[in-house]
Amino acid sequence: MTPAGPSAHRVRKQRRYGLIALLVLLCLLPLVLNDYVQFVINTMLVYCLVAVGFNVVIGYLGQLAFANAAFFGVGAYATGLSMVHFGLPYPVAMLIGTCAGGIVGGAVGLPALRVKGYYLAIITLAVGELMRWFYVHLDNITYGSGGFNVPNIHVFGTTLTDRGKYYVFLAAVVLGITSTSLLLRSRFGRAFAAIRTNELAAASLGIAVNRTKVIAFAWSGLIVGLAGALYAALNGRVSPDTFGLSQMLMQFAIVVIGGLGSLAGSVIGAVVLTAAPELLRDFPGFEEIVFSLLLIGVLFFMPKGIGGLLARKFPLFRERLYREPTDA
Amino acid sequence: MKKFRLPALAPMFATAALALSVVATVSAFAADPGVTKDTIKIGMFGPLTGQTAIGSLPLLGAEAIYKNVNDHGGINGRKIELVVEDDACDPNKTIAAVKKLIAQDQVFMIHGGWCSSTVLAIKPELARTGLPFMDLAGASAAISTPVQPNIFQPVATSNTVAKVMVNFALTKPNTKRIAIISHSDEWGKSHLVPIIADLKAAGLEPVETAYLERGAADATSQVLRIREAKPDFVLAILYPPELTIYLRDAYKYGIKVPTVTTQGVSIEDMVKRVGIAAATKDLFVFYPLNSTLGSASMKKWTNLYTKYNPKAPVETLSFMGMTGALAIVDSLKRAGRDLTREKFIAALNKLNDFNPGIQSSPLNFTPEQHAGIQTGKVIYMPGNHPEILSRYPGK
Amino acid sequence: MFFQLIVSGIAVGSVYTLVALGMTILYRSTTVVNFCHGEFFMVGAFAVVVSQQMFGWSVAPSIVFALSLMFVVGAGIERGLMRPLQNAPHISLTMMTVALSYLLKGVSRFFYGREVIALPPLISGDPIAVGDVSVFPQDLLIIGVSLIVVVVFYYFFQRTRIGKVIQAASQTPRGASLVGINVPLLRNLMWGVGAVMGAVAGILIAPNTLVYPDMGGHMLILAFAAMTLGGFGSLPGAVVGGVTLGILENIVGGYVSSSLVEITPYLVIIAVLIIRPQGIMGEWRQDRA
Repeated sequence: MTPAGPSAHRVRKQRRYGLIALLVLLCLLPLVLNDYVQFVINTMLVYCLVAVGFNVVIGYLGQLAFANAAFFGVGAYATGLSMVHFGLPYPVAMLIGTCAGGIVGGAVGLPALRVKGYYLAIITLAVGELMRWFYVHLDNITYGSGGFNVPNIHVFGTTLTDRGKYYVFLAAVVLGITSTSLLLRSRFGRAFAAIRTNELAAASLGIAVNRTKVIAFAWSGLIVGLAGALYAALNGRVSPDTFGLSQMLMQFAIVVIGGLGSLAGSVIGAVVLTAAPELLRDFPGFEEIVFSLLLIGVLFFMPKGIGGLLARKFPLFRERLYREPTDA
Repeated sequence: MKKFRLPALAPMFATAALALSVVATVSAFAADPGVTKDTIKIGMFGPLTGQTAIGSLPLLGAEAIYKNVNDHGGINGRKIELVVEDDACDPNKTIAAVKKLIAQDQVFMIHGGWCSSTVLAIKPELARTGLPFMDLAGASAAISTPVQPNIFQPVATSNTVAKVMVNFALTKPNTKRIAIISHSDEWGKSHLVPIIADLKAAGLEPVETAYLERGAADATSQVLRIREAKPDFVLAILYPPELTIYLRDAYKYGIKVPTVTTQGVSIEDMVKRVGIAAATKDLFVFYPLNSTLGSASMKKWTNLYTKYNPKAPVETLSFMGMTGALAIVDSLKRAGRDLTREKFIAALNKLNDFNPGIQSSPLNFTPEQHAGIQTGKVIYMPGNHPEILSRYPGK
Repeated sequence: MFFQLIVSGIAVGSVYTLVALGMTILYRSTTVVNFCHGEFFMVGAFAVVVSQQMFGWSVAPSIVFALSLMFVVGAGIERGLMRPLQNAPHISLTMMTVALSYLLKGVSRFFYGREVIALPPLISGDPIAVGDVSVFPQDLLIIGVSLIVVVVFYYFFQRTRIGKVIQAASQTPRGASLVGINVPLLRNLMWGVGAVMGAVAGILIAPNTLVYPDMGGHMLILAFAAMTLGGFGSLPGAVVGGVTLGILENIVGGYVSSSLVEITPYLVIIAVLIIRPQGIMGEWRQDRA
């Protein structure tokens, strides 16, 4: 129910200009940053994609699937390994990583058809940890528990710096978010929301529930796989310890704090939770406590996340499919 | 129609232009970063928090050295300014921390790293920026091999620890059957691989290699497998909590052969934790220091440590970073008042037979060899006091 | 070796049982999977350590203190943090328990992060050997306590009136409150009880594993695996699942490969959910009424 406010047309126009202005600002940003802040911003970009991809499954489709860290890891490993083992250039490796994520996503979607609720959460967690075990023990291929360094990325003969990576990441993120937004606005997005609200009713409306679910998972895997490919380039290394339970819970926190079912929220959540550890550098030991208090605060006062809060106040942030998720 | 055009965008462009000009003026600096008229900025990192926070002790020890130097007038008229970052033993967090130290804090050099994975993760960044780096206490041999001109490792590497462990086990007469229990993470591997290689060189193969994971509550199946293999000696590559579980279970299931384990474990601490004297009287620990903690020659250093860290526990680990810090101080002095990074690295490369008396052997750096320590001793506690030895106690 | 593996598996599995029982009780009373149960486990052990070190109490009063504290903590969490969210979607409740787990871990790390503390066994003594099999007295204590707890729970829930009332309240909360049962109070009590169970498990195993802030993390997954194997939400299932998981871990480690021990819980979860999702004893469901 949109309360009385500016007309939909006007809001769309505001949003369009706002996004263009934001994009221009983002393109100019690196000129005023040192390497460290640039690195942090790059990290934020990666997590924006992670959150958006995760939100597709957990916010829009409404399934409690904790396989996101697995998709993330698959994307990073596929990208890194294709560069190290086959010497492929980064753009090709990125494509491989993205597709690998999509394939694993679709594969996870299949058991998700049979298993629901908390069972799905637990089995996807288990799958993620199992993949990590494989990364550690298949060390002939994956270089084991120490991980491996990703070779420097060369563009037009020069090595890509943090600033150069920023533009690549920005392009990837814009592409990822825009295409996800288009997907969500299409009949698929509406089907996701219908399934989230009531599967039976959705089926009775002629929605192919199983196929739609798998598509949602595959898309999530694709986006998060792309994020993994970016991550491999961000740190220049890939190792198993990154993709475990604590990473999964952090990604969960990002999406909840940002707002389930809100793209703007995902971005905001990613920015906030990436900035927080950096801002808390002077207070070692407080990070976990601040993090948990932030989560508790959001759960109490902003159950729809920051995105939800903004959507309530500013029509600019209201997205068409934004609605509170029903019980998992 | 709302005005989201030029008037709205203009302030944004103006700010960007202003920021650009500020950056342009600030980017000119004269000397090497981190050196001013009266300070030298040294960046440090270590696991101040997280699962391996015990690894912050070497950092405290090194800090004590630097603070002591400052209290005695500094180096060539400059005081040492420390910037300490937490890495929580997380390689990705360390990359961010090091980028901050280099790009934002603009330190002269970095002295840090307890978890080898964190040091290995920043090697590319160190190669790219070329600033001098002294490893704090990370043991992986991969840190200084292959040699990178600006990376120095002042502690015994996992290769050295492995060699000492194997040689020690073989000094027990008639030792042919050796069993290994290890973590399967990178730290474990970095010891396991050289151990197996050293055994092979001695014509031996482990009769059983068992894996125990961090956080395990029980080692029954691992200990039973080892027992079935009837070893003469067990090599344990475990962190203290899991070593405790192993020792208890080994005692319970009647494994009566000696065990030798890696550095980073304190023998007094281990005896206390296991709580069963009979289980630890045959435990031998790689010992990186020169003498036992309670001895007269360590007193000077113990006092120094507690002066600046009154509340921190005093353990073997507390002293592992000190020799590196002393090496840095010595080389800074020799590099002179006209301090640059090249001169500092050149001074480090000339470090020969450097022995302040903390570590069990002198420190040597050459341009080709940045793993400064190649030997070590072993410590055990048969009764109430620890004793250092290099051969298995004969009859 | 086989019998030793079984006996040790029962000992370690008893701890899993206690943790899984605690989580199951919480799940049944609030249909929330408690992601901070591992931290109840950890805080319970720390409470004993703290009261011994700071107040200088001996073992028995420390344990009493720790258990009472955990009851208050559990009930307090339910009252202050879970109840206000009871109408929120499940995801929020789950997230709340995750947040609590970080908070408890962060607080204990703040005070004790640099140390790993040893707790002396509650019963010390040499291993007891019966034929080929050895056990520490502490192991017998663990098995004994778990057995007692299971029996008490069985008797309480199945035979006493209060137990049946609690069952009613958790199966059909609306119906129960219509009949005059004070459902919120029962929920509160059950959270206290669940927290105490987690603490009991932590105190029992702390002498073996030592006390440190992260000791609860792995236990959470093991409890999930035990609950899934036995039948999610089923109390007898938690018992069967816990002991079976302990034995399974030991058998796999002893006969197959010790590197598989760490992923045994994950393999169990995946296998069970694919082959027989309701677990060994069958799952427990809450009616909508």
